[in-house]
Amino acid sequence: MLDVIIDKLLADATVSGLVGDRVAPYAYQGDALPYITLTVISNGTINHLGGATDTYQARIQIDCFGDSYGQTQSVVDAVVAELNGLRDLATTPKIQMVHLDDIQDAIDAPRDGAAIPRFVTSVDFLVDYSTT
Amino acid sequence: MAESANGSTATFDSTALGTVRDISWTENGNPIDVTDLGDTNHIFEVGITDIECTLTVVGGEDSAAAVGDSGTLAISWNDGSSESATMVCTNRETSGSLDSEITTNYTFKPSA
Repeated sequence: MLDVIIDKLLADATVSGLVGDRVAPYAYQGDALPYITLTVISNGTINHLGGATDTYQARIQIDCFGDSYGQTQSVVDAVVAELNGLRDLATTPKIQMVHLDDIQDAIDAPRDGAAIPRFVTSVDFLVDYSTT
Repeated sequence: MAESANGSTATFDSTALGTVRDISWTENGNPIDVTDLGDTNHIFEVGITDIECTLTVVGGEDSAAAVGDSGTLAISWNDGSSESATMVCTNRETSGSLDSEITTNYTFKPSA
């Protein structure tokens, strides 16, 4: 599922115009700012007494890093615009719905030699998707 | 002894009732108050029993049951016990809410 979300972000002109191809589950040391990392915070199937359905409900966290608050918020706005309310049944797995759930600002440790910290905003989304 | 409800099944007219989430089987004895002035406590006798089974399945209306359908409703509980009766489907309610799954509630009552 996370690869579908990554593909959606990379395909969005506003997002890629800001971060290039720097959208991944991890960042390399020294990666240029801004960039985006993604993490699955929780995931599970809709279950029933006889087993499990093929529908999952996940929470993902998208961390947007920038070297200024304004730059970071531009990335956040682009990510939210692309993902909030997304539904695409043509992907594998099928994305039933993506909903924005939370946005939280934080400050990360400064890069080597930098006088100011990196800015990071965590954006949580609820992702409902199905494998069939 | 297995006490989890997980693994319990429901069939209607020998067809599995899909993705069952919740099962409730109720037998009500319709107690009759037969207390008289000489009793210390209220005394009851059981009348004719009412039986009702409600089920919740994940998803919309299941093709195995519709309002008006009659047949044998059989519940096999995960602990080995079971329920069975000839019943008619008297109610169906399908609902869904924000960020939650679609569910359908069925009500069954005894039929002739």
